[in-house]
Amino acid sequence: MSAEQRRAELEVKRAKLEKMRQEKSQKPGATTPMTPNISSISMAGLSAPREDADPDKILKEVGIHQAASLPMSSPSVSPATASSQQKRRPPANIALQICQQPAATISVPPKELVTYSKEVQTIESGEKDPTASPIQHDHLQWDDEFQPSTTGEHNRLVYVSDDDTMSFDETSKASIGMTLPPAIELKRARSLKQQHKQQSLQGQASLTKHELTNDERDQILKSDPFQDFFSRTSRLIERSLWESPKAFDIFKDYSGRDLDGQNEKMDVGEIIKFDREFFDERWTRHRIVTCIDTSTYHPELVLASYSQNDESSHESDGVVLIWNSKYKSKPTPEYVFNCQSWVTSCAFSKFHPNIVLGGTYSGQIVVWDTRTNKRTPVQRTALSASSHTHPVYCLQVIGTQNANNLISISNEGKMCSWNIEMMTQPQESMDLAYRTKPVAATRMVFPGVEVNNFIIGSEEGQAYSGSRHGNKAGIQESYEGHFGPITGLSCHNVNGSIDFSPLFLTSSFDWSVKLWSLKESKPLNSFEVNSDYVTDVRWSPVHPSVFLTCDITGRFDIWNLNHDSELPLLSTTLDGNVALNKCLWAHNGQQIILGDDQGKLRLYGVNEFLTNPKQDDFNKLSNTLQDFKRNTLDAFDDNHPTNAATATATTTTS
Amino acid sequence: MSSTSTLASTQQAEIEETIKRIQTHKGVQGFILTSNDGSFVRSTIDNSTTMSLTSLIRTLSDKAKSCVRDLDPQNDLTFLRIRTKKQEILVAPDKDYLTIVLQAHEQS
Repeated sequence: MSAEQRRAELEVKRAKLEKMRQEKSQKPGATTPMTPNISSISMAGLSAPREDADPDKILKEVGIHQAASLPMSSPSVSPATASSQQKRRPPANIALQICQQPAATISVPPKELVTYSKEVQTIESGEKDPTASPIQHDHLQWDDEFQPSTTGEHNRLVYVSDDDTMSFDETSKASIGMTLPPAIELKRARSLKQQHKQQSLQGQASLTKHELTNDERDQILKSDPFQDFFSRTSRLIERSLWESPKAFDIFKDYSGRDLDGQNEKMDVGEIIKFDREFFDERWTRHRIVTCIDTSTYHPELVLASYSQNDESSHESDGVVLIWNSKYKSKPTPEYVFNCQSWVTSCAFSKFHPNIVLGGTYSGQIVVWDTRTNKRTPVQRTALSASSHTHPVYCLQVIGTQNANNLISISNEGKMCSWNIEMMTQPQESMDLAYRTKPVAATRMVFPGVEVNNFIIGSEEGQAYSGSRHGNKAGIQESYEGHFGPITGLSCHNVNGSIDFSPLFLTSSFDWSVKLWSLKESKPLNSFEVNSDYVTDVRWSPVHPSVFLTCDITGRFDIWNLNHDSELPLLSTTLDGNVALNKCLWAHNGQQIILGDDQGKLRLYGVNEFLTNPKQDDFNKLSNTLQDFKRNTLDAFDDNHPTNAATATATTTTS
Repeated sequence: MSSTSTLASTQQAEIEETIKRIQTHKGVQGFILTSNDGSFVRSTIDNSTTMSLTSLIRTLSDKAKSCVRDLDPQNDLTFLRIRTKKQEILVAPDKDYLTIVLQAHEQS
């Protein structure tokens, strides 16, 4: 717009103003009620409180408020409006002053206007398309160079167009719009419309600017950045979708209007409480849980491996899932990993938060990385005679942060040690044999932080202890007692006033669970309450005398040796004809995880009294063990009175 | 090892699967994937709503991002939830792309 146009517009407004003043002086009673409203607005716009009547307000908006306010040095209160107006200069005088300094006196625009104008700029910069839109250009001009009246008018129009500012709209209409010639009103409306159209057009243009072909879309879908983005955000979205109502109930009203929240606290009488189950229609149905592990870095993560799916052949055989126990309802796993052979054992790498290890039925050991988007392993061992050629039934990472190894056993009787960074070939490999007879190892444990001595459970039913290094490397001791393959092996791992580290438990197909000490070749006690194959046994990681067993009838027992050594503290049988295959305690001992033959993981919360051992629990366990020893000796003497001497002799020699 | 093309197609299938899973979640009314320049849009709701929603949400998320960055230049916007009386809008912005999910309120 040219300066002439603006000037012309100014002129029109001035004329209008005069007219209004005249009107006002004629009927002051009509305008007075409006004054409080306007004064409040002018107070918002300017810091100085002004109790002016309408004309001053209008002048200010036109851009010449100084000229108007200067002569009015004595601010008049609203009831005296009429008299003060009479005191003012005649309208001609005002016109003169306006002519003198039309451009020099610039009104400070209300803050809202500036904000809006900036937002418009943000859109433009965001869309990267400063198409020569006259209106938006105007804004820029105004913002940069402070063109006074006409652009100010435009901006106000924009502001007025906003629905939220109807009050302002009305007052301004009442003050100016009322007397505006219809042409200007029209112009206003038109420019408003134009602006709207322009904006919507622009929005549409930027959306449909590049119409992509299907190929290009596919290209985007396949691109790495997109994959990256998608895996991250879809995880985010899913978590928030599933967890939002329960976990982040920020709208909860405690005033009593929705006080139906049930008390989640466990009763003292209640030992375990069902928490949730993990199941995935596609990945875990018809698969047996073969191994469970929890992460040391993120204790809420549960790793589980599954057997192959016999029902559907097109899915990959090996499935390992990472679930998150923190989320109470999210039904999908956090991560899905696949490989070609089914996974018989899995473990989080104790010293690498992102590495997941899996031992497979083929004998391969595979490594997955949660940092990549791929479900396939990032590393895998070669199938060669130097490593495993039979199913790898147990994996354990031993050592320290700086020097650690992965130890694996397979049931052809081989133990290999690996460097996780270099899985092409084992660092060491050792044949497991007891008195030249190969040991078909099914379970292996390195007690505590041990890196040398280990315990092994075998298919023949014996447990063995041995060491990796030294001049007698290999299996040294045998512990005979089971009549079926050993399915579970767990070492006592609670530190306390008394050292129970020689204790370990085994479970077997012979329906029994046995308690051993590394120092004795005969079991300290046998727990025979199950009536089918016992599939796993685990010591509690926090309570010295508590352990967990599970069997294939769907029964799982929590034992507390200090409470009762004959019967479990709690025995639960799951409905639905499920067979439990694996069990595990969470690191803090506050949860138990059970894996079954239908691809389900079940989580139970454990009562506090089983997670907070008292000091005398250690002493009590010591007494219990003494009782066991006495009992076994008595039983042995009763059953084999003649063999007692020879039996002790063999014990000492072996 | 599978070839890259089959790998890409399985990844694409995974994307489809995830979209389907999210979309079938209770209360989810719409799922939109879009690139920041507006050239790529993948949506489960009708075209006009998608267009207006994406452009508006993109503006808002840009604004929120610039707000976060102005407060702390090392910071960045990662997720945006808008809870309204009728529904909730989940926005997961990224460098080049944007995910928007509309979720109706669960009547508890």
